Amino acid sequence: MRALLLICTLLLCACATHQQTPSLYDTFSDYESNTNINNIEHSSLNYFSNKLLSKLNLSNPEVTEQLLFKKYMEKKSSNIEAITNNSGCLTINGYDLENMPISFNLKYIKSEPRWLIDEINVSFVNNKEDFSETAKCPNINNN
Amino acid sequence: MKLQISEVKITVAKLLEVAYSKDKGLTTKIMAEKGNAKLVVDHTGKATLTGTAGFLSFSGSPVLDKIGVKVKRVSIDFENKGKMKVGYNATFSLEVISVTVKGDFDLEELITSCSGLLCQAARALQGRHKAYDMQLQSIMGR
Repeated sequence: MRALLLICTLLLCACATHQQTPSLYDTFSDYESNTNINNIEHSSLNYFSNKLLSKLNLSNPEVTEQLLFKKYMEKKSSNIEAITNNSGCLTINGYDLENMPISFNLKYIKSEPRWLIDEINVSFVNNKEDFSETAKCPNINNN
Repeated sequence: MKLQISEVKITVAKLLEVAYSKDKGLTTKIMAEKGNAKLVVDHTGKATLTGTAGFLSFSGSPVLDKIGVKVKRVSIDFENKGKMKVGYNATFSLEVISVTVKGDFDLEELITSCSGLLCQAARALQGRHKAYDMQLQSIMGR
């Protein structure tokens, strides 16, 4: 009986301490809600990978504007994500300010305990029928 | 400043226009051939238009310097679907993000506008010409 109680206690502790990594879309939503022109320079480490940030001059307004790429999309319509080990792709489909279809294709890498954006592609498509139904990372051949 | 879709489309047209002004015959051959062609501008500004009919090198810098943001690389895939209808998929790599625009245009219309009053590429590139940009935008769609 005592052994059983001990096992149950250990299991409960394990469940309580195990933090589930959020989905890529949750991570994107966090970035979307909590970044703005005033804090992006300091909060960028929470959302973007070292690889992406290391080449950038964060005091350059052109750079900070692009880190706020979320502003390209006014309204979201769907999202799809795919994760393989320590990296993942997230595609978000939606519409821009002129109500034209647009997609974000993002590559994420895992940096415990969170996911960080490693590559960003903003894609203007001809119509909503062109929205991808699978998660796509940016195409490195084009970058 | 955000790179806008209209700016990407106008830039694609202007790059073709510079190629055309450098070698009218070869550019037309490459673009009019049914199938695929590719235009790449590297980080130094060197542009190369390649297709089954051959390749052409020129400087893309005068065009890219007109865009308000730093462009590290441009890669444009063209697909001639026949009857002068050309589809394109252009990706502009900036400091942080890449911006991709898909569209299509009528090659004949672009060449005609180019060889008419507007195609003196040098003149066009010396300053922004609003009416001209609007015409190119309308040819390139949206």
